[in-house]
Amino acid sequence: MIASLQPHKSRWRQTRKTLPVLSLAWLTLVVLISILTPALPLEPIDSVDPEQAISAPSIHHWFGTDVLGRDLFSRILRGSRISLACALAGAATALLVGVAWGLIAGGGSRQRDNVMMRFVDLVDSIPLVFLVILVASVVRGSVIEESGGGLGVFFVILGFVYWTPMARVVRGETISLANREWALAATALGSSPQRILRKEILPNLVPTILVTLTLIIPRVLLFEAFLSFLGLGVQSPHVSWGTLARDAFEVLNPVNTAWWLVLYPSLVLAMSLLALNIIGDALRSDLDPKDATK
Amino acid sequence: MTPFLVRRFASATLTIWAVFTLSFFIIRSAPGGPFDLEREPAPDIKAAIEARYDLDLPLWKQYVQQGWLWLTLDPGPSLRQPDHDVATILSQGFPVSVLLGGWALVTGILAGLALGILSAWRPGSWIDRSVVLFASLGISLPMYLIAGLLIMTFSFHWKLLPPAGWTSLASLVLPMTCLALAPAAQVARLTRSGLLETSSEDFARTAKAKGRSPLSILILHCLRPASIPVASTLGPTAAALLTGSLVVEQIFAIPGIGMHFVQGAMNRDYPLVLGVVLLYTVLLQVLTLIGDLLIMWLDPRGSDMR
Repeated sequence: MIASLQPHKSRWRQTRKTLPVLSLAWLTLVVLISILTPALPLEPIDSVDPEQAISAPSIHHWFGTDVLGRDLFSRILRGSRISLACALAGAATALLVGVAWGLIAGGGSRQRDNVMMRFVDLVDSIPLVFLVILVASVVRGSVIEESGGGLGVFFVILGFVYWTPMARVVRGETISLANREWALAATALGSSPQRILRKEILPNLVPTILVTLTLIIPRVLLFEAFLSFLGLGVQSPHVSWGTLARDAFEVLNPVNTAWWLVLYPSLVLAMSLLALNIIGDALRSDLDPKDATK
Repeated sequence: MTPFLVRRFASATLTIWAVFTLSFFIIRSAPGGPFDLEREPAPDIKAAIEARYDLDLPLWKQYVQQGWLWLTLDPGPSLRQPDHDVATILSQGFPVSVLLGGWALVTGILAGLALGILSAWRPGSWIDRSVVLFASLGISLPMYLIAGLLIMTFSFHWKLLPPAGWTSLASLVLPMTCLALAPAAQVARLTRSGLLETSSEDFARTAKAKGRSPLSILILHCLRPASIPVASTLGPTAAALLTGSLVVEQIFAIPGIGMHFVQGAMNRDYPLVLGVVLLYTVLLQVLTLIGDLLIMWLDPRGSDMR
């Protein structure tokens, strides 16, 4: 390192310790609220009050109201439930597909590894987002959506965008772990390759998988907001942070600027993303001693 | 070099074909068609329209036919804008999208490199910490929040820049800033950690012993190896930019091809949607190739060309 770190070291260290804690607190709050939403005394989802349309934040409506006079605070809380569910379900899909793919590729023959990773390369060179938008537009208005499964399909679609980083990381780590002494010892003791993968390697992959998950979850969360913003994601009457932002931009005009409609839903999303990123960074630098930013 | 390029060309062709096939069948499996109107036309009229566009042929025949049309670069008319060729629509929107995206990419990368250098020059200082903060914010803030804030401050409050449209140079500023922010943050992050790592290597210490100033060591000696990760993420960065341009084009009402894509996907304009996806795929292949060539130039050791 060229310049000295000394003068700022201690205070900087302190900030680096408190930020992840604050982030964790915020995320816990958001998760708790989204679990408890049905029990909270919120305005009913279908209540419309045209006389209160687009009113600024006040005692009665903490975050103001939207174009139909619905309370924005209640809608954001409702939205957090769906947004978080999307992120978790999407990340779970990415986790399952990615870990399985990486483990099978990294734990098998050189040839199988080659074929499977070439496929990952192919998927990565496709603008996958656009295919996902196509699939989302197929699901829209189809039988699946009419039978109420639209959201479920949407969750799964989200996961298919971000499974490749997980597959890559898991595959690399599997190969390096499989050559450690204890893995070789298990082979010498007569364990089958499948058993070694399951019993020896998979448990040791957990930290790596966790770190990768903290990278994937914010991206899925952002992608949900992105699709919903374009009108291809979560559909009314459901609300998510993305659809709230979409509603805000529909009424955005210079004469009567409803800034609260733009600001609050996006801010809640941004804070959650920031918190996830900070936790991810902290985890990474704790688990990786070589990290230069430590 | 030549075998490398040949191999890359082959894999790019394979990718483009795979994307074409996938998108063709995905969009064809969608319910409803391009000629669903509010008032259902008489069945024989609808059949006549569909026959006009060969939509009554078996699906595999349409697939082969469309594939051939795209190979000859003449995809025929748009289904929802019957007076316009898909080729015309795309060739009108494409320069707009490329201008916007290209400027955003270049600005973002340059700004990111500059910020990364500044930050690694004085690690731990307030500059460094602001850059780190900016880098985390830049990848955390949803693009529409930045767009909304920029519009409300610069267009509505101070009335400096137009909030939407594609008329003057001034109308380019806000959308470009929105798009450039994420790549700038990403590049700043990568450059900073790359520089911090390489500045503790032997050659950097030797340069310091020669009496070089810290800043010139960073720029002249460390920047080249440190920018390899930046070049290797050029493809994903560009992909993220393309995705972001969908949102930006919608917010700022910019007549690029992103708008056509979302519209076309919603009202089943098959050839138009295929066109946009193919165009983006080709663009992404080209940018990834540029990134790989850059890596070979930055680090000649690894030029076994995979």
